[in-house]
Amino acid sequence: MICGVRFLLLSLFLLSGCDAFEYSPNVAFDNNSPRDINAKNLQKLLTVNNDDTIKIALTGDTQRSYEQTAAFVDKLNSIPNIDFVFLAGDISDFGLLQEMKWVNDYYSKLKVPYFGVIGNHDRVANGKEVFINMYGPVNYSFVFDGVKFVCYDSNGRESNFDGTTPDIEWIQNELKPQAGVNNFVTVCHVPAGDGDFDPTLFVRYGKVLDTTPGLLASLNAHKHKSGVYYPYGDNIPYIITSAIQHREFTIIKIFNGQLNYEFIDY
Amino acid sequence: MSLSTIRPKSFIVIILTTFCYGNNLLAQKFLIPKNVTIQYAGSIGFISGDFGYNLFKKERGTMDFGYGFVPASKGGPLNILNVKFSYKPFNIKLKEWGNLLPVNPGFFISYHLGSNYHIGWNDDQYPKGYYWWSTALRPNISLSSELKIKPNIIFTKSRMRYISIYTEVSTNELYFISFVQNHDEFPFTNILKLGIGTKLYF
Repeated sequence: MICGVRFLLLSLFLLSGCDAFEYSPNVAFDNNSPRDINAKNLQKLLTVNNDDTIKIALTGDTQRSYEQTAAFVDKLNSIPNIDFVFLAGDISDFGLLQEMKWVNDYYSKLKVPYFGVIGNHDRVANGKEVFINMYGPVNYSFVFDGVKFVCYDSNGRESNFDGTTPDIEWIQNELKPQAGVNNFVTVCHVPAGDGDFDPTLFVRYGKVLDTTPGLLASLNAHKHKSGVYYPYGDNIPYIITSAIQHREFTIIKIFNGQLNYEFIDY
Repeated sequence: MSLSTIRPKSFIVIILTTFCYGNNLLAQKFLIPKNVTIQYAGSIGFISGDFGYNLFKKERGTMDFGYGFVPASKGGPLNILNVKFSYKPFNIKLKEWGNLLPVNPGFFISYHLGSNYHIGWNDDQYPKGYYWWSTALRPNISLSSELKIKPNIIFTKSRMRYISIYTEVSTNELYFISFVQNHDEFPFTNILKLGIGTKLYF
């Protein structure tokens, strides 16, 4: 009797504080899930005094790798002068709210703001709704220090290659010349030319990026292997960061219209 | 009246009538649920309702079937079917007024309805083995504690045998894998989910 009551009370006590009353693993949000992470982090970023170099950490594929994610946060917090971090998709493995909350618990301990980008795993089940509720729109952009970062959903296979993903018209519009913008960088999960990129959009997409004056690079993830590709044979590098799962990320530096990168193991 | 003109509702009435007034007493006894449940949370809905049967001697087990929903305001809309099994090895009698079932291991499967959830994966869309889990079916393991009270201590003529309250801790296979793969970093309590409910036994 006492044992049972203890068990009951103990379990209630242990769990009452930590989102234990789950209605379904597939809910789009719950009482404690964060909202508008990207917009809030942009507000933080824009209050920082810029120097003349933009220094970004490009990360991706945290899916189901919380130990490696925790180690990444410790590592990045020890690197000076980082402006912000991209988490370029596959935040979750199963498209579940709980997973994105777990990853955000770690990433929110970064000393600098971070921006989530949707990956193919984040679109599984109710994942897209979870992403929209937690991070904001799947396609978004912001300008920092004269560079416009254009972030979007490129997970064509999740749309069954129906010609909607990535949204070329939206991208084209975002890459138009704009006052105060000297350079462009695009950020998305699946790189052009990958088997999960919509093949019907491959040519148009490459042309849009190639014909954008001042476009420096496309930053991607998904392949779990770092590398730089030129899928169109033009001058636009497609920089792929390896997975946080593999304890790797990429430092991107932009200075005076030049972009360089460094792959980091930790 | 041809068969095609019978509406589903009429069917249910006919089945229930057969049930209640039919002469097959064995089938009647076998099919009539022995308990009904209302549960809050526990990964099968904001609110869910189940009907259930006893298994084994001395009612050492229950098997429940039900439906739960999550309204849009709570992160839905989601519609979820469930099948739950619970084994109740310890039954402690509390004087004249009830029983405590302190530790009841069990498992349940939830099935999410709707176009975002599938048992398998579309072969036209994904190469074989691209993803491996089911988005619609979620197996869970659970542990519950239940306090059963005899209502006749208050209502002398109650047909109800017991009214109970319980709490159920559970986790699903995807959370469990996440824990196993990250156990140094990840407290086990991270993956435990809670439901509370009440059960009426007839």
